[in-house]
Amino acid sequence: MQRTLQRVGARKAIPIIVRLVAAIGGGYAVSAGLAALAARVLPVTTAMPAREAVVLVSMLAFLVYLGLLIWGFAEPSLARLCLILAAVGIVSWGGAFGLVRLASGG
Amino acid sequence: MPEAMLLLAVFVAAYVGFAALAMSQDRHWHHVGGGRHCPRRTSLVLRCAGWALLFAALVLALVRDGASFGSLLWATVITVGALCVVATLSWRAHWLRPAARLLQHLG
Amino acid sequence: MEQGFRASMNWLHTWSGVVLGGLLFAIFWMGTLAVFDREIDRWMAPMIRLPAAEKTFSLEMLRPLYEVAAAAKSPTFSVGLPTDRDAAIRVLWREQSGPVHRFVDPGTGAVLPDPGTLGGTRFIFPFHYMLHIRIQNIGYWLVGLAGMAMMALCVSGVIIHRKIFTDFFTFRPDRKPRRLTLDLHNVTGVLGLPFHFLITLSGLVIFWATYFPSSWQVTYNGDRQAFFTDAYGNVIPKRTGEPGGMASFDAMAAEARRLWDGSALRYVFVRNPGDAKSVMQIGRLDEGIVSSTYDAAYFDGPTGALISYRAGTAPVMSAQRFLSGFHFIQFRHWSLRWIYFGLGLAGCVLIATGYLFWLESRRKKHAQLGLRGVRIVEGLTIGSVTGMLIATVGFFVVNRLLPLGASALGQDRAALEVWTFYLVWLASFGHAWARPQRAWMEQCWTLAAMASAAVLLNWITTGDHLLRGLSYRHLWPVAGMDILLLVGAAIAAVAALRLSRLSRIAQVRNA
Repeated sequence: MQRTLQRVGARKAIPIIVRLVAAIGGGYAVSAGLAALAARVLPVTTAMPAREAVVLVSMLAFLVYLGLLIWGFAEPSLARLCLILAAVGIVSWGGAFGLVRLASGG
Repeated sequence: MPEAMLLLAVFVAAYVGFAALAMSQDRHWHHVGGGRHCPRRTSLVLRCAGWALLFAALVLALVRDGASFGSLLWATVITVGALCVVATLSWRAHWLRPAARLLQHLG
Repeated sequence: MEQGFRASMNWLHTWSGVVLGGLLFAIFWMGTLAVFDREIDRWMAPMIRLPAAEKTFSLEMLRPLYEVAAAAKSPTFSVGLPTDRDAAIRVLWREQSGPVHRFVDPGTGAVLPDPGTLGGTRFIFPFHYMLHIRIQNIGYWLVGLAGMAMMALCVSGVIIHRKIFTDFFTFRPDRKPRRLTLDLHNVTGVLGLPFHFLITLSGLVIFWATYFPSSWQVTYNGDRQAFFTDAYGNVIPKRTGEPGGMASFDAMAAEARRLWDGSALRYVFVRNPGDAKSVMQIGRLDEGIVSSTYDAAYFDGPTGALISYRAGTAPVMSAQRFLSGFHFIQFRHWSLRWIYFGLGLAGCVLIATGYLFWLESRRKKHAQLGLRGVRIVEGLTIGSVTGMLIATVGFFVVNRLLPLGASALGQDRAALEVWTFYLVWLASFGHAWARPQRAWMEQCWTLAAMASAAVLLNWITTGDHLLRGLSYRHLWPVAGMDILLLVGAAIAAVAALRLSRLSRIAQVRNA
C-alpha cells in the first residue's frame, strides 16, 4: 500500500479513496435511509399496508443504489457528491427516525 | 409433440429475425456477399421483416407457455437466437449467402 | 479518475471488473452449476439414482426419523418431498453434532445410506449466494457487493460501448487475440444484457430483507419475527419443554392438499418436534408457475388441527415472489432450465473475456514500464477462472474416489470433499503465479484430463456409464452430467491446443 501510494502519489490516491467510500458506502447509506423513510411514509399516505410498503421500497432501493453508484463515479465534483449524499442521508434517516419517534412517543 | 414444434418455431423465428436485422447492416451485408452497402430499400425490408419475426416469436412463445413462462421463454430464446446469428456470421457466413443473393435479385 | 462521463464510466467499468471479476466469476459459475444442483446431487450420491415413485406413498414412513429428531431435541425437522427432479425424499434435522441429512426411498420407505457428500444442493448452491463464509454474514455481503457491481458493470458497459448497434452482431475470430476477446466480451455482454442484468437484480431481490433491513426495522421496531409473521403468515411457536405427540402426517397433508384444490406438496416442516407446542408447516408445490410460491398451511402438531393457511399473495409481494422465482428456477420447464444454463455460461465467458482483454491491453505497457500489475492480475485471473473450473471438477473426482464413510484428521467424507475443492483451488493460484507463461495452457490440459477422469470414475464406481445413463429416464441426469463433463473436456483440450500453438508462434516471433 505504501509503495502504491508513493508511486501513484498520495495526492491522487486520497480523492479516489474518498470517492469509493462516498459512492459505495455513502450510496448504500442513502439508499437505506430513503427506503426507511419511504417505508414509514407510504402506509400513511397511501392505502398500502406496511408489509407491502416494506417490500416495495426495499426492491426499489437496489435500483436507487445503482443510480447513486453510477452518479457517484460520474459526478466530476467530489465535494458536491459528498455534500448531496450527506444532505439526503441526514434528511432521510432523520425523517425516518423522526416518524418513528412521532408514532411511538408524543 | 406440438410443444417441441412450437419451441423450434420460436427459435427459428428469432434466428431468422435477427439474421434479417444483421444483414440490414452494411458490415454484415458485405460479409455475406452483398455489395459494399446494403441498398436502402433492401435494408428497410430486412428490418421490417426482422422486427416482425421477433414479434412473431413472442406470439408463438406466449401461445406455447402462457404469459409468464412465455415472456421468459421469448426473452431468453431471442438471446440464444442472436448468439447463433453471430456464430453463423463468424464461421458459416456462406449459409446466409443465398438469402442475400435472392434479396439482391428482388430489390 | 478522469473527466468526462464516458471516461469516468470507463474507469468504473475497468476497476470494478479487475477488483471484483474473480468473485463475480465464482458466483456466476456456481450459479450456472446450481441450475442443475439436484442433478449434480444425483451424480455425486449414486444411492439416490432412483426411478420416480410408481405409487403414492405414505408420509408415515418418515415417523421413525421424526422420532429420532424429537429425541435429539432438534429445533426443526424438515422434509423435501419428491418432485420431477428429485426421486428421493430429503430429510433434515439438527443434532448436537450438527445437521443430519438423510435420503429416503419413497418406494420402500428405506432410509438410504449416508451419501457423505454435500453435492450440488449443499455445497455448490450455497457457495453461489454466500460463499460459505458464515461469520457475521460476510459471505452474503460480499455477494451483495458483487451483485451491485455487476449491475454497475452492465450499465457502465453499455455507456462506454460506442458502437453498440453497429457492433451488435460483430465477432471476428480471425483477428488478433485482443480484438477477438473484446468482440466476444461485447457480444456476450450486449446480447445477454437483459438476462445478466435481471438475473443479478432478481438474485439481490431474493435477499432484500438482509440487504436493506432498514425498511422493516423502522416499521416493525427491529422485530424481524413480527415482520415475517405479518408478511408471510409464519406461525412460530415457543418451545414448552413438555413432550407432545404428532398427529397423522398423512391426514395433515391430505387437508393441505384439499385447501389448495388438490395441488401437490413441496415440503413438510416441523418446528419443535416432539414438543407439546409443535407446529407442522406444509408447503405447496407450484412447478407450473414462475413465482416462488410461499403458500403454506400450519397445523398444530399433537392434534393435527389447522391453525392457518395462505393461498394467494398481495401485489407487491407477488412481484417479489415472481422475481425470486425467476432467479430460483424451481419451476418445471426443461427448455428454460437449459437456456438458463447456457446463458449463465455466457455470463462466465463475459467475465473471463473482460479479464483477458484487460490483460492483453496492458501487457506490453506494463512490461515496458516494469510494472507488475499484469502479472499479479493474470495470476488472479487464471486462478479465478481455470482454477475455479479445475477445483470444481476436482470436487467431482474426489467424490468418486473416496469410499463411503471415509474420514481423516477428524473430517468426515463431505468435509474432505470440500477441503479438496479449496486446496486444489489454492494450488491453481500457486501454479498460475509460479508458471505465468504456460499456466493457462497447462490448466486447460488439467481440466480436460480431470473432467474425462470424472466420467470414467463414474462408470467404474457406479456402473452407470453413458449409454446406460441414456437408456433409463431416472439416469438421464447422470448421463447429462457425463455429457457436459466430456464436452467441457473437449473444449478445454481445444483451448489448450490453440494456446500452445499461439505460444509457439510467439516464441518463433521473439526468437
